[in-house]
Amino acid sequence: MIIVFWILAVFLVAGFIYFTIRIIIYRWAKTYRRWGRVLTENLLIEEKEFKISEAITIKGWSYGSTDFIDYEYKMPGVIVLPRRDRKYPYFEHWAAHFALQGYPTLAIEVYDKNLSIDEFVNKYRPILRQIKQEFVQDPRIDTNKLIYFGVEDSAKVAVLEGLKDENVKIICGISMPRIEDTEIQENKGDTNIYLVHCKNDKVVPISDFKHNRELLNIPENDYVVFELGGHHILSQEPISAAYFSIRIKDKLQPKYKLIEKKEIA
Amino acid sequence: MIEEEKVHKIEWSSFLIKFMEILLAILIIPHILFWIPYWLSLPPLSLDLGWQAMNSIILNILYLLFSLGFIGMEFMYIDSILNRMPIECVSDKVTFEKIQVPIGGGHSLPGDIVKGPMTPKENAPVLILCHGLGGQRTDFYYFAIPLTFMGFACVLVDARGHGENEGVFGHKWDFQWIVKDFGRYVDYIEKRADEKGDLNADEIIAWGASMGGIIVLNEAYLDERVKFIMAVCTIGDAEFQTQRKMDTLSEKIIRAGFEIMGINYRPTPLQARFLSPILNSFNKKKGFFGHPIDWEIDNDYRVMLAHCKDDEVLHYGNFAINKEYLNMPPENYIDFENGNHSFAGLETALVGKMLVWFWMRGY
Repeated sequence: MIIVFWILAVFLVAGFIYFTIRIIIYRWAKTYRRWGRVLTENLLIEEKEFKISEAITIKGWSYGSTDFIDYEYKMPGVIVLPRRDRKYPYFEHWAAHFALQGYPTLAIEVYDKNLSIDEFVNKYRPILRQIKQEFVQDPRIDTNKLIYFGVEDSAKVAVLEGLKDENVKIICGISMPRIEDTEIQENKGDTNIYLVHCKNDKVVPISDFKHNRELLNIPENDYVVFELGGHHILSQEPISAAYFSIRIKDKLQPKYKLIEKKEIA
Repeated sequence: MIEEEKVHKIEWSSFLIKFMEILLAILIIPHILFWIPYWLSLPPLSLDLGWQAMNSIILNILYLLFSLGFIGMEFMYIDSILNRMPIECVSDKVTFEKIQVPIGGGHSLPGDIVKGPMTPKENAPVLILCHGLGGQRTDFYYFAIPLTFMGFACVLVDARGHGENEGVFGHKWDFQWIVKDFGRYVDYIEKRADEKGDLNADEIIAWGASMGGIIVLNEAYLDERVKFIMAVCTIGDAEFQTQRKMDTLSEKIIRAGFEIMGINYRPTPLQARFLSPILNSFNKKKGFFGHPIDWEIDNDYRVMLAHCKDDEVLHYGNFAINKEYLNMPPENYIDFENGNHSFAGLETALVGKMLVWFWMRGY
């Protein structure tokens, strides 16, 4: 009798604790997993692997929109370089944003938390170069209208690599760390850089943004500074995405099928 | 009309009794279980289970902490779905002009006109953004602000009983007036365009979410001064929405919340017709008494929709009804598997799609 009671008691209490912890973890993950999968039939998603060397294989995801299948015009292509402290699918929403506008988009996972910024930049610059060579083979892409989109440390990779690449016409950077004059080895001069930063960024202070703005000679309408949002531009993500897209549309003038208003008798 | 026996509604007495039963069971039964060993160790049974009172107290405290944690996480979860943009958007590139939109009877509704660096000083195209039930005009700054970079002046107004009007003027359930007020927003823009010249009354676009979607699908749709409309997570058929079977507990709680707020979840056919685009504005016999009206509408140009399949506030079926009724071309809509009522985690994707809608219309 006593043994049965103890078994039941332990079983009930353990079961209850397990169940409660699971719910708490699930809710916690749901609350703080701010971004995740973008599940819609309007998106075409394909997982890719880029073999950079014997030791390095980079995962990527290619995105397109069902509205632009067999589209008559070539469109600018976007390479998304996300935060390096998050794995797929945390960055899928950025790629979906561009892909739904008809831009063939490639998001690559740069999950590499332990490197210093310089080590990270030096590692991923050649990787980006190599992946870009494969990316431009996509027949949907207007190869002279490439866009690099980088978040945080990845933005520095995008800028340093994009400035010297003749195919890259636009670089978008969010919370980009400081770039020194000596780091820019080559600047072909026809690339527009659009930046977003928050004044209360504690990782990359606003002074670094101002330094970058002057160094890269970024005009007034090519950046947005928010008062709040921090390093991860909390709450400012959709605004930033739309800002970049509107500037990209102004600059690259991709061709969209126009829907004319029909006069119905 | 849906037959009476097929109507699904909240039976308040049984719902509350069941809710209280569950609550009491969660709060009381485990504590009783935890104390059983201690009681068994007392006379007359005096069983020695090796279980001291302290253990029971520890279990009680642990359970209490878990319960509080669970309740806290539930609130955080709901907050994470409904309040996705917790940080205010402030940038010196964007200006907010406070306005008062007259709606007749000496009343006016507070609002903002948001302009950005690309908004022209004269003849700026106008985007009117309508917020949802229980919301306020600031809810959709995140969509309005970037559109100022396209040159729009964005007009956001607190509906009656909402935002600054809460407790001051109107009620949340003044649906008829809230929907009809949209025409006054357009009147205001026309008047201001004439007097100040900063807005272009020939370039007015309407956007609405949830209740805001009801406004634009019913009122803006039929207003010839509006070029085109976008409605997200909104209604198609009020009868379907209010009388369908509720699948989840969350849906029941949300509906209970609406009923507490004073929303009639058993609309009469007349009320349903007033709120349902498929019965009101999309109806080929658009006149209120079924008579035809002159203006034919090119829906392919005029209407764009978005919805999430797991929407627990306004069921996805509404979107399906609207889509089928309008026979929409695929580029005019987007639906997501996840995201619930606020497009949680999908805001950037949704904004991307909405930009295409503008660009395909020459913006």
